Amino acid sequence: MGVESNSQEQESKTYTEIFEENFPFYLSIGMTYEQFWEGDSTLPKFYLKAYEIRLDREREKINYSCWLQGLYDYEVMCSVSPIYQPFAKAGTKPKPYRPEPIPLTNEQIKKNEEEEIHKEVDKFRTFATMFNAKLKDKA
Amino acid sequence: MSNSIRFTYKDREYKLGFTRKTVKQMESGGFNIENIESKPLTTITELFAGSFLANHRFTKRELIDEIHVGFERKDELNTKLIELYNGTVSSLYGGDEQSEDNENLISWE
Repeated sequence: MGVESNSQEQESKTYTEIFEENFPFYLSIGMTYEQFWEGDSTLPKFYLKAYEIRLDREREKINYSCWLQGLYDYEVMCSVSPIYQPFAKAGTKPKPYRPEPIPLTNEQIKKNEEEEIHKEVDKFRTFATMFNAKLKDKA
Repeated sequence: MSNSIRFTYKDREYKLGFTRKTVKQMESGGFNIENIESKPLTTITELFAGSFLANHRFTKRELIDEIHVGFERKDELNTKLIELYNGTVSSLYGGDEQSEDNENLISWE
């Protein structure tokens, strides 16, 4: 990174050399030519802070993404593991792959739960209708 | 936190400070902040004159020197000038060498 520099090296450099050395880095994180050379001299500090925040966020995102991938992999391994058992019964099948992605937001979780409840209610309704029909037939 | 020195002289408002461009201009003109120990008077005078480049580049040298001579609290002025000058580099490393509560520190009468 452009900002990492040996302090002893810095001492022997002129300010102009330090500016020119760091300029490409600051361009790469979004500063313009005018902001760097002619703008408020404290501006790079804030750009640097913003860059660090962005970097942290990206790291967190990558970390979470890897964790999630691991979760899917783990789930798949658990799903297929029964068929790899040495003494598995004939006809053992792997569990089906998750039909939908894992919900990540509270909104998605709530929506999934509601859908689950609706499914259960529909099942019960079908069962009740069939049961009533059978009762009617018997009567 | 102030990154400038503000004052009024003869009904005109001044805002002194440095940008990386003006520091580069000063260095290409032969200015070297490291000379402050060996030639303090010349260096401080040049530093003061250089602080006009960002916002008052066409101010005549005689007027700059006149203003400099009349400034109160020279020590604080010099410290602030060096702070502002160094700030152009320290901010590149995320540092903040500028002291707080220095807004309008320099008064003029």
